Amino acid sequence: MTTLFERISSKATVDNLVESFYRKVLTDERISRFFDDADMERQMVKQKAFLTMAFGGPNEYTGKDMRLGHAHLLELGLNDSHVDAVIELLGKTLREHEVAESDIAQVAGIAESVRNDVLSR
Amino acid sequence: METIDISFEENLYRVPRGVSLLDSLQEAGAKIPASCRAGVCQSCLMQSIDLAPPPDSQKDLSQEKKKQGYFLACQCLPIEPMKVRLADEAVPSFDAVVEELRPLSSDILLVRFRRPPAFEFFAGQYVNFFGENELVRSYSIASLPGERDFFDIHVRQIPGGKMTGWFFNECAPGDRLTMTAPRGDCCYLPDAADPPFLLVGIGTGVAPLQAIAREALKSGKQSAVYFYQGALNPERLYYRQELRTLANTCAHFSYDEVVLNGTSDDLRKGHVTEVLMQDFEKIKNCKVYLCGDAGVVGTIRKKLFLAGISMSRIKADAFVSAPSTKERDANERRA
Repeated sequence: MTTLFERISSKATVDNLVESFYRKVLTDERISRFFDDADMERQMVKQKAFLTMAFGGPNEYTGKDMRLGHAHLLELGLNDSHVDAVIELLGKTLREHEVAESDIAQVAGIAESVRNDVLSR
Repeated sequence: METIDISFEENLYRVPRGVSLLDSLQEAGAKIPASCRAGVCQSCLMQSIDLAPPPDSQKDLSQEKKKQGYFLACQCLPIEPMKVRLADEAVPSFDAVVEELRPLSSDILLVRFRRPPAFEFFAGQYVNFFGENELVRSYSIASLPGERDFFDIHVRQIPGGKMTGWFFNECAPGDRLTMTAPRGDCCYLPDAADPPFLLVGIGTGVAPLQAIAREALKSGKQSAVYFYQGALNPERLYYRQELRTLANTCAHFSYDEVVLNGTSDDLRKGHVTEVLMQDFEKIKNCKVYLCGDAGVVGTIRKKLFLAGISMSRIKADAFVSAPSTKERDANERRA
């Protein structure tokens, strides 16, 4: 019995998935402004932490981390539509790397579970 | 219980074996930033000053960081005594004595220091100098690790700049400054070199990059080095004679001078980002080093990444000027 994380990382390294996801995010006009950080390396580290969590990989993120990490974005107008876009691009990234649809649904479910924390609700 | 001695911020901590350094230090009351505690977010990045840290604690870090003893405290199970500090801690570690001041252009000054003993660095790194009133400013090293007697920096005059003002108006040979150990991972590692190389310099970003170029060429491996210098106009292409000479004497070093304004047959006109995109086929497999103005460096990095170059192959050192009106501000990165 393999875990979700094992199944995904057998298709591509997390680093490759992060790069592919980050390229999409930076060119998506719905959400690129939230990722317009001067420090791209730092930004990628955060992306990696998020994707690792969404893939069911090792992490100890708490709701509090999610709230603190996104509080400044709420002031820029972060809302449900942007979370939708992120989940959509995450699915697109995984699909490009031939991850099974059932696994993509599972990833979307994990990402969904932090929606309220991200939006401080 | 078996314990290991860890020295951190002038305190000695006896930490238990088998527990992460992050947990032990926090438990003992030390303030260490942390978030994921799973080796991913890099919030708890620290540096070992004496010994190489346990390999597991360096797993996902860049070659450049590994080489300099950086590690993640949450992934570090100490096995022997260590002396550690937070990654961004700035401690005065060396005294540097000014030896010579020489103008390189109307607003850029070369400052040569006597090289302190045990001052070791990689080509492309920078140091923080300490001035009066807690002033801290960063300058890239423009000389090579193998040049043992001296080290150089290039200082650009910034209107109202506190430390640049001092260098231009008051500094004289014999003056002494304190500085940190070398830092930064936009640097050339001889045993992890990964040619070909693309070097893009804006303003005094040329200082660390010409050092990286010379170091790479010195290795004798004949790897291609593509050097681009971007400036507003031809007058601001400082150091061009030296770089042209290098291009004329070394077949695998190419030098492109790119200006936004002004024309001349041997210059390329436009934004350096556009020029790089025109040349993308040539440069797409390069290990990339970008140095200079933060805005321009950020734009180029994003463009190259979106065009397909992996972020792990792009090293950037973005220079930011501190507003001259504030006393204690974030570091002025040369500019």
